Amino acid sequence: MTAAAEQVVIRCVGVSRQFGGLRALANVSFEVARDTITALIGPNGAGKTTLFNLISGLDRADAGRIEVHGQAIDGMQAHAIVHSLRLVRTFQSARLYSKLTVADNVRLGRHVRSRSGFLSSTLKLPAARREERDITGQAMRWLDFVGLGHRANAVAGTLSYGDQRLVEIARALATEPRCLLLDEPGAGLNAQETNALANLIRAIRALPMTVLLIEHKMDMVMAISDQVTVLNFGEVIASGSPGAVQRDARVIEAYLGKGEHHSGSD
Amino acid sequence: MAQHGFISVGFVFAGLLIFGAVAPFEMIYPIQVLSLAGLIAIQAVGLNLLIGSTGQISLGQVGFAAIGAYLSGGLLKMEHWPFELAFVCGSMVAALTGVVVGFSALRLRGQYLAMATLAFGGIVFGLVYELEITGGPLGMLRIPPMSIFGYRLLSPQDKFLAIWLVAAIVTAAMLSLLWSRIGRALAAIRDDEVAAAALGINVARYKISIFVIAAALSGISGAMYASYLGGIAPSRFGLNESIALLVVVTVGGLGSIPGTIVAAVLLTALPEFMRQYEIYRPTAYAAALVLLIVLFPGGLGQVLAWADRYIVAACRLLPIRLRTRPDALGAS
Amino acid sequence: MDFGQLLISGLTSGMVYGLVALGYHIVFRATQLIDFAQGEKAAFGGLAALALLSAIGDHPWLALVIVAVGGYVLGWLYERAVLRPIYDRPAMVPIIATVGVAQFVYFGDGLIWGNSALPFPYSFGGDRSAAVTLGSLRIPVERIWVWVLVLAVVTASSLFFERSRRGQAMIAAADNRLGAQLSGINVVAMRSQAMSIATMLALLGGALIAPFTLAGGAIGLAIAVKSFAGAMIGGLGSPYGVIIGSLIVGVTESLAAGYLSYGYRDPVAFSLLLLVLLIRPQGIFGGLRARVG
Repeated sequence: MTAAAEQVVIRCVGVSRQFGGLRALANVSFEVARDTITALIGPNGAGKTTLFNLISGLDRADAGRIEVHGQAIDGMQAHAIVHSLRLVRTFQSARLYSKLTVADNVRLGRHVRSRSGFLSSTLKLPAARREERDITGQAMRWLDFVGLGHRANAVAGTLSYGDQRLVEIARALATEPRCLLLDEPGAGLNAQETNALANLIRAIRALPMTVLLIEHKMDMVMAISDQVTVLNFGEVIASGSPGAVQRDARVIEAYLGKGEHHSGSD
Repeated sequence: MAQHGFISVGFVFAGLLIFGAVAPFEMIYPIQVLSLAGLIAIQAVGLNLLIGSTGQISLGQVGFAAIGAYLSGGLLKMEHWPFELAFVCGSMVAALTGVVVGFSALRLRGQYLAMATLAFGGIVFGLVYELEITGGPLGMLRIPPMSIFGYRLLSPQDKFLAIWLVAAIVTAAMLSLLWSRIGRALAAIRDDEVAAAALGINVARYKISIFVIAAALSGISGAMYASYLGGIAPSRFGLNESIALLVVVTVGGLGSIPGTIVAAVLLTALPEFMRQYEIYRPTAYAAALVLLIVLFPGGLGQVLAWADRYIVAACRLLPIRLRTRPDALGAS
Repeated sequence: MDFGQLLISGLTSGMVYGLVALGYHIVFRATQLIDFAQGEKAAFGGLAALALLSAIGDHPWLALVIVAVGGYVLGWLYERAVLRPIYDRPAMVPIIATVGVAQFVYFGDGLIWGNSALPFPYSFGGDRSAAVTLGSLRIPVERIWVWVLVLAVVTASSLFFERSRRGQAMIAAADNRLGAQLSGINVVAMRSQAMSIATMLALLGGALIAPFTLAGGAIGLAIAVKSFAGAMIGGLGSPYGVIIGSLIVGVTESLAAGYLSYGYRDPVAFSLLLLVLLIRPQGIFGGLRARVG
């Protein structure tokens, strides 16, 4: 792998996905550079979440190639992508286990990095017990990182929407990824929470981490992104720096004059 | 996740084992009834694990029990193997069959899996009914009894203790498993498989593993059953037995292993005290199944959980210090 | 071991599995559920018909009508009392509940009529000895009646779902509850009617097969699984498919019973189910894809 290739964490080449008669993605090609924040934007239905599903292994592309860290993910299962390629994603509607505690949810993130098997877990061997303490320690670390350490023992379902999304991010970070896919983390947040989220994502990038995010809140997107890719009707219509994309005629047309300030009430 | 009610069920086990050790000879009838209850409990724990921890429903568990029973019984009777070996062999073959079924089960969900496992149980039943080697409709008779290191378990007390010791070990093991990172992963799989996979959890591997464990437990129970009774027939491994297991699991409360144990004891012992109503029993059980699942799915597990809370609260009042683990009792 | 006779016999039981399978199809289309009690309803149908005929004398068609109406009412009761409270619960709950109902009916039947199968000395096709001869094949007229009846029911049901507004409404209600409600469809009523129809069909099926197989006995769950196998082989979403699939099951198990041994009947039929579930769950005709996995 050349040094240049190492700089590209996600590479999509000619990716297409169709659902029956509906063409969700058509010949999508783009790259995500290492340790950057790349935003994937576009009107609703443009195919952004579908692309996330393909990259994270929850769905398979009909055509094209997707590479993560230089390795083609064709046919790889979702859990293997998290485990071996260290790429993890969050969901548009935070899929937390609402009946479990916040801490237990984040502990689940550590599962993929833990090794104790059926036997040692059942017999509670020292190695398993030590690992359980590590799991708790790591979980608390990531909860503190997102600012929710004090809510560790709360039942996840009782948290506010915004806090639940933070827990989901902590849980994803607990899997020790090198690449984090965030699906609309800002949805439903007020201005103050959005600000805090922006700072959090910057802090995540500094870990270091490669971040790819789907987002509708244009102010946040333009403020924190290093790179922006725009999808419309399943096709890439622009890709570049935030400033360049903002001024792109096709992008403006796609948003039909909504400008760069989306009200964020999706 | 910790299973609520584990303290209460611990008392139940203690009570049973003490009973087995000190019961006088006149109590041979309750001992026999409770022995059977123990065998059912072992199978029911497996089924409960399957349904409660990965959401896979199997209506053919007795198929695995039949494999364990016939193989162990056959090896004991015809090849004169020592019990330990025959027992292990029977259980392992049942477990291996569980691998095959478990793999197939991955491709089916919910109702389709239930139907498929029903078909599986029916096939096993049909085969043991037809084949000569299993003795056909009359089954296999004169199966040698259980023995450990040469000591043959012949008295009802010995058999009772052996069965309930195995049940206790199995229960403790399953409770420990569920209260570990693996138990957490299983709960995650049950509640949202996609989210679990997206977190890196190998859903397929765990689903199969649990299927194998459940199959192994049924196989263990079957092998012990063959030697306990000394004879087995296909009719003991029919569909109704699988449904009876389902009743035990439902009464115990889906997902509650402590509840399952108590349910097994209750549902096996109760009919004995109500012999005159015997003919109504299956109908009553079926009605109970429907009523419980619709109205009170928590079952006995719920009751035991309440009991646990009282015990914990009572200990707080008394000068007894409980070693409290912050996340121990989990969120209810 | 006459192939022709085995074929006829297999086709007849296949037709009856088909009727029960049609019930699965209707319930599935209207509720996305599989009702494990379908087989037991058929067994009950046979016993009820027997009881009716013993009581009212040899008026087979009248008995059938009463069974049909009774089936419709029982189906309504069943949906109301058991299914309606549990639609939104996790998948295992409807399974356990319907299995429980199946057991309840089975043992309840046992309490009322005893546990062994009863002979059914009546006929729905007129004179039992009348037969049509095709070459070397002797087809009893009663069997032909069964075939005709089943085909009529299938056609009616297919037309109902494809052409009538109510049928379309039922499908919509199952497919997309919210959307259907927004369109003004009474989802609850649709489900209820679907269950009533399916139960009626199951009882009718059981009554029709009783002359050939005895009434009652431990056949309920076997019918449930075999009819389900037929439904899956043909395609759970296709009304004609479920019939054809059921015919395949009936003929295959009949041939197995004839050429191998009677005891292999059930294992062979069950193996067919496993094969179709694992290899081609959408069945031959697909239709509404049942997401099996």
